[in-house]
Amino acid sequence: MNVLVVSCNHHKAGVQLRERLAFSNPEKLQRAYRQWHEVHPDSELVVLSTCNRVEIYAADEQDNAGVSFDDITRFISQFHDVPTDEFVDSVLAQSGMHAVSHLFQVACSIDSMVLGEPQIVNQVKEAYRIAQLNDGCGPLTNVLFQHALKVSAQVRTETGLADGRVSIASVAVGDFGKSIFSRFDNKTVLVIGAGEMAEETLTYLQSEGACKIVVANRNRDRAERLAAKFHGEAVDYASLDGWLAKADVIVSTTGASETLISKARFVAARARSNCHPVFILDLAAPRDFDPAIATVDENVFLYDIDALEETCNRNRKAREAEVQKAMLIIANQTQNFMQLIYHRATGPVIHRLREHWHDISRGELERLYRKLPTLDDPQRQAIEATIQRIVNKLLHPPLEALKDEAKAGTPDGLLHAIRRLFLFGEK
Amino acid sequence: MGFLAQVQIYCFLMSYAVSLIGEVWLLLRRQSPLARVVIIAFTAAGFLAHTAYLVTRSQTAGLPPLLSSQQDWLLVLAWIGVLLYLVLLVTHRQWAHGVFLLPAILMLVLIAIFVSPQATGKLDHSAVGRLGMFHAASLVLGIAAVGGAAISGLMYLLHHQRLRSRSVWLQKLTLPSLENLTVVNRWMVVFSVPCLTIGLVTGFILIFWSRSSNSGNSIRWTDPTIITTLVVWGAMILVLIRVLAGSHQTGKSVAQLSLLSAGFLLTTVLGPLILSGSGNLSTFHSGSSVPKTSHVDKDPADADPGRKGVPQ
Repeated sequence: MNVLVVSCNHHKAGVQLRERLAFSNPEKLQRAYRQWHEVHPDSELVVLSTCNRVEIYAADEQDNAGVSFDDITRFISQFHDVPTDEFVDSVLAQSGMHAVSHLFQVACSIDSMVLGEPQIVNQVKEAYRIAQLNDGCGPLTNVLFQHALKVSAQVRTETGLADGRVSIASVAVGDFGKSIFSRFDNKTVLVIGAGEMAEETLTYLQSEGACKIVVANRNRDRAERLAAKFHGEAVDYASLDGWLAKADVIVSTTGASETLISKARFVAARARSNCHPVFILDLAAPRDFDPAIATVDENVFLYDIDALEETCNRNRKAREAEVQKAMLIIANQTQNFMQLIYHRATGPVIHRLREHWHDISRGELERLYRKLPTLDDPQRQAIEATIQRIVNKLLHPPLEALKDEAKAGTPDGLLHAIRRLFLFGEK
Repeated sequence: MGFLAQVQIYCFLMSYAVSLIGEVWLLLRRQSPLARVVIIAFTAAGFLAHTAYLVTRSQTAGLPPLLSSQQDWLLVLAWIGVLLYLVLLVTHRQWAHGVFLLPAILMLVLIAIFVSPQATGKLDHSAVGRLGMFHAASLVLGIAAVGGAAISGLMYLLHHQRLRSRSVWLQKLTLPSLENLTVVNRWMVVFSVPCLTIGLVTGFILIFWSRSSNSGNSIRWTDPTIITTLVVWGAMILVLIRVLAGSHQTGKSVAQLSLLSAGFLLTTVLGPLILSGSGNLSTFHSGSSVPKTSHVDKDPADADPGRKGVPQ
């Protein structure tokens, strides 16, 4: 068995190189599988290409035949027209047990930029599906990827690796917003500014059902663009105080160099409301809202970027504490997988040996029956059962020895010896 | 049915105590499927034992549990709490309801051990018996709602504290949103007032009946249970007025008032129950002022196997 992986990921390669080596669309992937099979028709291939990694898994049933690391890097180089020298030092190449363990770590998101993030398992699933569609998979990669998905599910169930959110926008909405409000579809969301952070936060809010979105920005065009993207409404920046009173959720991400909303301004706006709970996300640096606003009344919940970052870090640390547990599961599962594969490698020889010996016994029985035609059916059955038992007892020691040897790796020496001793040099 | 008679209060008390330990364990270590299984198994087992105990008691007294004794209606109150907890355990398992509900349930069961298991005055007339049942059911539901308001209020205050001060020690407490807790808290207050009112009105009708029928089973207007229930009713009326009238009141203020009302409940209703159970206070509801018409004259320890060995 031969499994290889060449990985260009966020640990060793910058985004520019990853972009150059990416298989960014289904057409490219289809072309890649076609080109690979033209050169290596007997080897299996799965390409995993995401924004953080480009990984090529190649596999052969034979140990000493088929593809090598050089074949894979040459293929990448030719496909993307990028000289090998430009990326060879930024890729990770692993084989056998290490390659299997690497895939399991990737599928469990231990190797991800954000530890425990859930998207990677779907990306692995999708890569496997596309490989199947393009005839990239074979017996080995099928078992390998199915096993990887099972390990991923086990790690998610048995560890807290995926617990707690770790991005600022997801913590803001998922941890704090949902702790204050049970639903967002009846809430007014006011966005001050039109930055990237506002967009990310709105994505989460919209996924939670927020539909009444109001954007106020000094630059009206940017406000309208952002509002249009989320089916919201761009409002006049001068009407900000009125919206401060009406809004249930306020997301502020302006690039203002000074405090935008002072306590006095907020108190004045608040006086026009019924003091309903208001969730304020101040994602700007420097802050847009005076921190003293948090004390205006009991229904004001103000969070700045530091408070959110603190929660992100705490969740990140909690996940890190679970890595050891996950690694233990992965190590055990890698061991199990390797044993399974090694044992599979002995399958054809075992099958051939059984067939060979039973063929001999059948031949000898036919000769015996010709010499003793008076034997009736019960007598024949008794003789056949005896011969069967003898063959099985003789086969038992070599098969057990093969099974034991397969725990440590493909038992090449023993397989060779069996072929030489019993199968007369059959390949 | 023989083995059902063997069920004692301590059986389900211990089951709920184990469930509470499981809940605390879950709070400290979130990933523990075993703890969850233990909680569900012990709560369900306790609930079955609890139900069997109430059924047996009801059969022994010849009355529904709500009418048989103060101990029994406290156990009915706890039973309602366990039922609610089991439902929430299945429907909203991510929330830490148990650490709030189970202590309240355990407290009710513990108090039940110390209150009188003696039957209250017998209500001979069938129509009056039905009114008595209605009276007890309304009061139990009203008191359950006050308890519910207090628990949701406590959850609100802790959650509010967690969100405002970002207390690290509260981070592991997974609770419903403040919006949900506010809704539950207010509805509990709104629900408790009519229940308590109906309970009181029907109670007054029963007093009039007992006095006018000259049955020898008359209830005093100054019965401690009546006075204390009136105090709780008054407190809940004040909270309701605050909920309905205050346009600028916050969820926090309602939660605080709910907790205050529960404090009233503890000191004014449950306190006299314990006192009457220990024989220091005479009240019709404990059966201690019931004259000869009382149909249960046996020793309390005989009536309730769970009370054996408990100091009187």
